[in-house]
Amino acid sequence: MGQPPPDRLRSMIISAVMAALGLALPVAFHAVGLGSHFLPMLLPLLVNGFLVPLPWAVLTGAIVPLISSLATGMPPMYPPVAAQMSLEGAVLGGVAAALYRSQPRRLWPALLSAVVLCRLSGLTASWFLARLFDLPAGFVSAAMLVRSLPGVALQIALVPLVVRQLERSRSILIKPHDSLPEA
Amino acid sequence: MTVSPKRDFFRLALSLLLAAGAVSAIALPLRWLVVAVLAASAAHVLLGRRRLRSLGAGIPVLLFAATLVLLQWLGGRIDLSLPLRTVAVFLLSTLAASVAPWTWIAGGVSPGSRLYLPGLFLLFIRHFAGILISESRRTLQARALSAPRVSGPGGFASVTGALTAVFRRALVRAERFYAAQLLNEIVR
Repeated sequence: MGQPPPDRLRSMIISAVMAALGLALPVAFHAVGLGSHFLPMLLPLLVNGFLVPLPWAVLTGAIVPLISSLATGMPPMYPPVAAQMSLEGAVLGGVAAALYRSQPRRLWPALLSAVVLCRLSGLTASWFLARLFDLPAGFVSAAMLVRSLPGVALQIALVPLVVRQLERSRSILIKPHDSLPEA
Repeated sequence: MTVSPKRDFFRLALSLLLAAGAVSAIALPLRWLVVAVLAASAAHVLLGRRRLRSLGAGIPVLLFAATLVLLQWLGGRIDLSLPLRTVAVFLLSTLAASVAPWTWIAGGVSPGSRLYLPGLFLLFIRHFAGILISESRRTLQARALSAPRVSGPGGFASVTGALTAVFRRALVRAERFYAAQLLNEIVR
């Protein structure tokens, strides 16, 4: 046994590139002073959900925050913010992959459901974490939600653009039956 | 450059010890926590220039720890052990990850093993991360020079445009990599 089969290799390479972007974008955003409120780590994980099958989308979404935490220290391992972001990444990629695979032409319902469910899971997790660490839970959850609004706006503006462009790029990585018919 | 397996084994043992230290920092009493933070900071400095940079990367973690103190103050109860544990776990876990002999570990996984695919996946991520960090930084710096503000006319659109370019170039790189792997299989 050497190489994985082409389909698996394809998903693996797309997921690896998106995971690498998930690690690279926060560093680049901080370097140019754009900050973390644009949720740069979650952007590629969401795009990945539209390009690969469910297991790869969930796996990639779950491991990227943990790798980033080990490599750069952010998001922190303790309190377990990395675990919270891991949950958010898995939900974001997983919901997008599941809905877009079942109805490939309907990008917006998949995108909006993924973004809303990701924010809800993040909100719930931050509320529980705040309670666990004796922090003001209501304030922490509300602050987390408000801070992430520019990131949500960027996700909604950018992801349809990127996904449509990638699907129309006639790349050998995007399988013909995955792509949308030409308008 | 070849590194002796003995040295790799020592690095693996040290990494596991530091990881255990990171886990135990969650339960350490305050006095020992201060000792752990000082020792881990010293180890970061002693282990070389590259790790010094990783120590500089600790500024966001320090800001996060300060935010925790602020939130505790808002909640009416300040307990310094929580921010100290945050810093201790950061120092010990990043140190554990940086001293671990990743190449040696990856080289020890055989193609028939269950760990082969996860190992390959992590190697792919490392390969692409090395390229894309500098590429995305360059693109965003170019954007910042042409449109200094994020808010206001064209600001948000410029961020969207720059990121679309980053994604497109990342896919081109992935495509080349995929084609190379397919050709490699055909040649074999």
